[in-house]
Amino acid sequence: MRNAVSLAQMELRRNFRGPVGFAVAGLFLLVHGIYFVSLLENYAGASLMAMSAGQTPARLNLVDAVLQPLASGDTFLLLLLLPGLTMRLLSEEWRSGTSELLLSYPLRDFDIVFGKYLAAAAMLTGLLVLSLLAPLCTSFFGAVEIPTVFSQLLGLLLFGLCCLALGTVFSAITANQILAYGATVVVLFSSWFLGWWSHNLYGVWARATGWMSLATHFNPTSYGLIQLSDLVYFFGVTGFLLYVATSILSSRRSGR
Amino acid sequence: MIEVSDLTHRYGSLLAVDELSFTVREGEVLGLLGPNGAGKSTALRATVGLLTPSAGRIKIGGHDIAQEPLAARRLLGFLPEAVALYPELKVREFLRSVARLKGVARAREEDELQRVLELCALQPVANRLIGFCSRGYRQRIGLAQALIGDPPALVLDEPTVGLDPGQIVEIRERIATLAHEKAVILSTHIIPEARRLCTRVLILNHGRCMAEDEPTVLEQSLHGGNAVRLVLDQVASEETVEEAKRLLTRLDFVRAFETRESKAAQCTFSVELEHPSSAARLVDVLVRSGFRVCELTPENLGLEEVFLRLVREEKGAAAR
Repeated sequence: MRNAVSLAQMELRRNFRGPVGFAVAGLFLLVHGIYFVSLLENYAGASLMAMSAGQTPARLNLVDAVLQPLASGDTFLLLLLLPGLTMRLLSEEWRSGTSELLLSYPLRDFDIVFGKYLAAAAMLTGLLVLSLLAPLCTSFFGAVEIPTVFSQLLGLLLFGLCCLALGTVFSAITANQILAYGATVVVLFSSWFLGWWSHNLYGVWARATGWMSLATHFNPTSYGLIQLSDLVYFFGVTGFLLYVATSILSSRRSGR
Repeated sequence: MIEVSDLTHRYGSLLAVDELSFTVREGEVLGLLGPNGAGKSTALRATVGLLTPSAGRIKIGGHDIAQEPLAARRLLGFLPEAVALYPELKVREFLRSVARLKGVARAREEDELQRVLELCALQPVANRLIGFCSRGYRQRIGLAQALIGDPPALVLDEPTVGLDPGQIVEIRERIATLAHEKAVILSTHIIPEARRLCTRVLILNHGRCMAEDEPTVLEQSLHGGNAVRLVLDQVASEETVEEAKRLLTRLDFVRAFETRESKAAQCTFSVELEHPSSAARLVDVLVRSGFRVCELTPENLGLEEVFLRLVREEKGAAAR
C-alpha cells in the first residue's frame, strides 16, 4: 500500500505539471458551474411563476429542481472527462518506455495499477469536493438536505471510481492514449444507455440489462437513497476491473 | 550475485536467446558484446524481470526472479537502453519518488539522495525539470535511479549510446568507480568500452554464447597465443628481407609467417610459432644468422578482431 501511495504522489505531481490535470479540472468546474447557474435560474423563474399564480407545487424544492438534475448532469460530464484522466495512466508508460523503469522496481503489479488508479481517484475526489460549492451556494437561498447531498456525493464518487477502473483497464491494454480514451468512453456510454434501453425490454432481460447499467445504480443515490445492492455493484465492478488491469500488466510483463 | 542458467527466450518462432548461462560475482563487470539483434537486450530484460523467459532460471543474490521477484528486484539496479524518464518532474523529485518506490526508509531518504546526486554529479541540475536536462544529464539521472538503494547488482543496457565523446568518458568513469563493489552486467557494442570496463566479456550472436572470458585471454586464445611480432633491424635491401624469409620458411618451429611492413631499414613480420617457448629459439637462430632482432613481442588480436572473427565464423558455419 505504501508503494501505491508513493506512486500516486508521483503521478499527481506529474498531472499538475502538465495540462491534463488543469484541463480536466477546469472543464469540469466550468461546465458544472454553468449548468448549476442555469438550473438555479430555472428554479427561480418557476418559483416566481408559482408564487404569482398562488400555487406551491410539491416538487418545487431546491433538491429536486437543482441538486438532483445537477448530480445527473455531472455523471455525463464525468463519463466524458474521467477517461481523459485515465488514458495516460499506463498507456503513456508503454509509449514512452518509462514502464521499463517502473517494472524493474520492487513493486507488485497490483501496486503499480493501484498507485496509478489512486492518483486518478484523488483527482476525482478533489473535483467532487469542489463541486460541493453548488449545494453550499444553494443553501443561501433555502434549506438543503445534507443527507441527500452526501448521498449524491457518494453516488458520484462510486460512479467515478468505476469509470476510472474501466479507463485503467484500457490504458493497460494499449499504448495509444486516444484509443484508450475512445474505448473507455464508448463502453461507459454503452453501459449508461443500457439502463434506458432496459425499459423497452420485459422480464429477466429487462432486469438483467438494467442491473448492468451504471445509471441504474447511480440514480437512487441522486435522490438520497443509498442501497446496499448499489454499493456492492460499484465496489464489485471496480474491484473486478482493477483485477483485470493487474492481470493485463502481468501478462505484458511475461511477454505472453 | 547474478546467476543465469540455460536462459532461452522465443518471440513466436524467433529464437532470441538460446540456452545462455553466465554468473557475475561482486566486483566483476561482465560485458555482453554482440551485434544488433544478438539477444543482448532480451537477456538483460529477462535478468531484471521485465519479461518471463521461455525457459531457464535467473537468480539474483540467491533469489529466483520467477519465484521471489520482489526480493530479487530489491537487489537490482537497472539502466535501460536510451532511458526514458518523466520530463514533468524535477530531478530531485524523481529520485525521491524512486527512493520511495524502492523502499528506502524515510529517515535515510535525504542522505541517499545526496549520495547518488554526488556520485552522478547531478547537483547542478537537482532542481531542474528533467525535460530541460541535456542528454548526458538524463543518462546520469538514469544511472542515479539505478543506484538508489545501493543495490549490489547493476544491469546497464548500452549506457553510453547516443552520448557525445565527453559524456561517454564521464559515464564510463562513473561506471568504473562502481565496478569494484558491485556485480555489473554491461551490454554494449562498443568494443573499447568493453575492453576498458569489463573484467569478463561474453560474446553473443543469434542468442548464443560464442565465447566468454577475460578480454585479454580472449584476444590471445583466438590466435592460439603463439603469434609474435618480430622486427628485424638493418634489413635495408630487398635481398636481406628475402634471406630472412627463406630462413623463417626453413625453421620447423615456425608454423606460418607474413610480412607486415618494411621501411626505414626495419622489417616487421607476424610469426606464428608451434609453441610459445619457441620464441627464444627463434631469436637464437636469427642472431646466429647475423640478423639484428629489434623487437619480439606477443601479438594479440584486438577484441574487435576477436568479435568479428567469431561472428564471421558463425555466419560461415551457418552458410555451410
